[in-house]
Amino acid sequence: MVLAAGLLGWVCLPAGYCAAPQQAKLEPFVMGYLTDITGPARYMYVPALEAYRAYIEELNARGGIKGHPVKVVVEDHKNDPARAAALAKRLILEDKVLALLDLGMSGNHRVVIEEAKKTGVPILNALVTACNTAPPTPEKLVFATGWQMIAELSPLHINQVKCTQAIGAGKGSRVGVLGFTAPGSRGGMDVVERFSKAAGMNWVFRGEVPAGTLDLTAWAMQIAQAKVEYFHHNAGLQEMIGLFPAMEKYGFNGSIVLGMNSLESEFAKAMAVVRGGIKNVYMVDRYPLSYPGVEKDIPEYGTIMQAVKKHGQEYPIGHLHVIGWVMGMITEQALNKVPWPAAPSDYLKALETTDVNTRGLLGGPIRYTPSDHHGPSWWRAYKWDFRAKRPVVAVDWMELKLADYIGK
Amino acid sequence: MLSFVIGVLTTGTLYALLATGFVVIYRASRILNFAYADIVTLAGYGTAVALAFVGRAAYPPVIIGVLLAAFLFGAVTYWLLVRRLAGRPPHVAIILTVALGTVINAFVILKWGGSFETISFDWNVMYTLPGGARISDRDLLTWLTAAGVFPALLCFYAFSKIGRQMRAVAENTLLASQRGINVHYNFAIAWGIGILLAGIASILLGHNFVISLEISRITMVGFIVAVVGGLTSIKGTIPGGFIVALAELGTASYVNQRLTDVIPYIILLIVLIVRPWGLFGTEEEFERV
Repeated sequence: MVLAAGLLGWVCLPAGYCAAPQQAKLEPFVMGYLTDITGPARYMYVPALEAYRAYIEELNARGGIKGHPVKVVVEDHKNDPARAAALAKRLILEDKVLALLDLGMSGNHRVVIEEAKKTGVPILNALVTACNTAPPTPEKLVFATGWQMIAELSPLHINQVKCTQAIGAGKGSRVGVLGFTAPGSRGGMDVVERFSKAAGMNWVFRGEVPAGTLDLTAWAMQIAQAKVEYFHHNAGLQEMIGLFPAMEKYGFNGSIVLGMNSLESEFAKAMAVVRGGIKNVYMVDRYPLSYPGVEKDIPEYGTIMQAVKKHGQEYPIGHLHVIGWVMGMITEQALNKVPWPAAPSDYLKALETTDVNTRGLLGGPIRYTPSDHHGPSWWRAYKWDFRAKRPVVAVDWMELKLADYIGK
Repeated sequence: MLSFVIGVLTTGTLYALLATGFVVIYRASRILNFAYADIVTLAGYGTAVALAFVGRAAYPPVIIGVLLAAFLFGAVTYWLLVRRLAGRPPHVAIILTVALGTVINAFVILKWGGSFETISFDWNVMYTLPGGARISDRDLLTWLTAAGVFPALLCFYAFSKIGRQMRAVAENTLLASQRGINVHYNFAIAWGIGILLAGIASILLGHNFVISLEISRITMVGFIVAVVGGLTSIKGTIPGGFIVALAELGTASYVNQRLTDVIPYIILLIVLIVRPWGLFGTEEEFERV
């Protein structure tokens, strides 16, 4: 069944999926959704698409925006930057979209931004944003809903350090980080290193691993030998599965802090390989993680579950869906501010006055201004409960204003 | 230091097992099977899903089933696809394996969506050696598997009738055919064994690390090990595996972690320049191919 749904999606999506209601009569607002749908990172990006599509379907069922439906043209760049650039061009010139959404992994961002600049089409990024969206001079067309990941200022990595402090790290604590041999990852590690040192911690290990490395024996040995007490894991989930058992084998018994960028169900698989040597794993995230009963704590989560189930679901509901849902909220508010017919410049202006109540999903609203395309963000740290096999809140919403950290 | 040696032994053994499947298929049919990596990935996902379905406690029938399916997949692939290309230039069969790999890869992406799976047998041991180095069940299972597979394979080629026939076919296909040996049957068995070895390697990869789309990258290292050892030599895969693992882990531990990815390819380049027939291949065989 899943395979059949997947095959159907494979056939339909690259040709451009369109979400528009049958009953609509007026011309639609057109949004371009460009991400990795059948490539290697699809599990990170398809959930957000599922939720965004569901939000727009529900919006159209409510009558759309001033009677106009919203049409979403979906394109699959398969995590190939050259393909991403070509598809962005097509979305902009042929489909005449008001905005581009998501973009997938950071490697695809720069080429798409260059295409968007030619016509002034704004971009609303999902999980990651690989350019500056912080005040006072953000990238003009780009808005972040997830993580801004640049070496100068990465809120996720600042919060990783804040998390280590909240769980007991202080002056002299032995700290280390492992990330990918990639510029974006190095930037994140730079931030972790800078802020850890500024807090007086003892920086004892920094390692890089090529993405996709399965055998992390050498890195695990070095981490254990460095006697790291607080270890920041900034590589991927796959590397985690190879690394953590090896770290246990070589005697690591400290705490691990990581940015949560995977499905909760996949993360649970990674935690299943831990055999008791590692006891403290913390996940830092801007979006609320899913666990049994989360819809009772956050009713909007229940709304997402129902909508996604109704309009097409492949992945279990989790924080990656929340990103797509919030992008839907932002889209609705911005479209309500633009005239008909709307131009990308109208939509850009509308985005710059965004103030979306996320109904308990995040720690606060999504708020953009002309000089701040990131806005304040709230971050939570979760601890993995190995017995219950679920995350539990360890440090509740920590507000972070990027403006406070500029130049630090 | 002992920890480092244990790491090299385990990784090298995995590489050797991965390379052996390549070698078995190549030495029989003279075809580089570029679908091999995707088949390893498919077998890994299949094992993980089957274990999740029946429960980890019932792993023996799952493992046997997966390996049997792998053998049949290899033999049937040869019989239905590769055999039809007999007499055509070798690159035609190679292109066929590329196409087969692409189809399998697309299937894996659609079915499992790039998710990660692990293979566990509920065997959880850790032995601490004098000096503090540790050996885990993952190391032991890898070594024990290799200790069973390599002697069995060498005995099969040395003492069994079909094994001797396969060696004869590999040596001179035309002459073997004229002596009444069913060449296609031998090739099909070789493909079956090669893919069975891919199945064994995939289970060990899933037990030691993770099953993901990235397995194709580690399988590429297996191909390099096969070239280093000599593409037609099964015993060459063992030193080949240890050389590549030693260079890789040594570089990551003592030189520069950023070079780790490149090291196997540097070794490949050196071997192709200095001794293109590999450690245990022969110059005559290389010239003949």
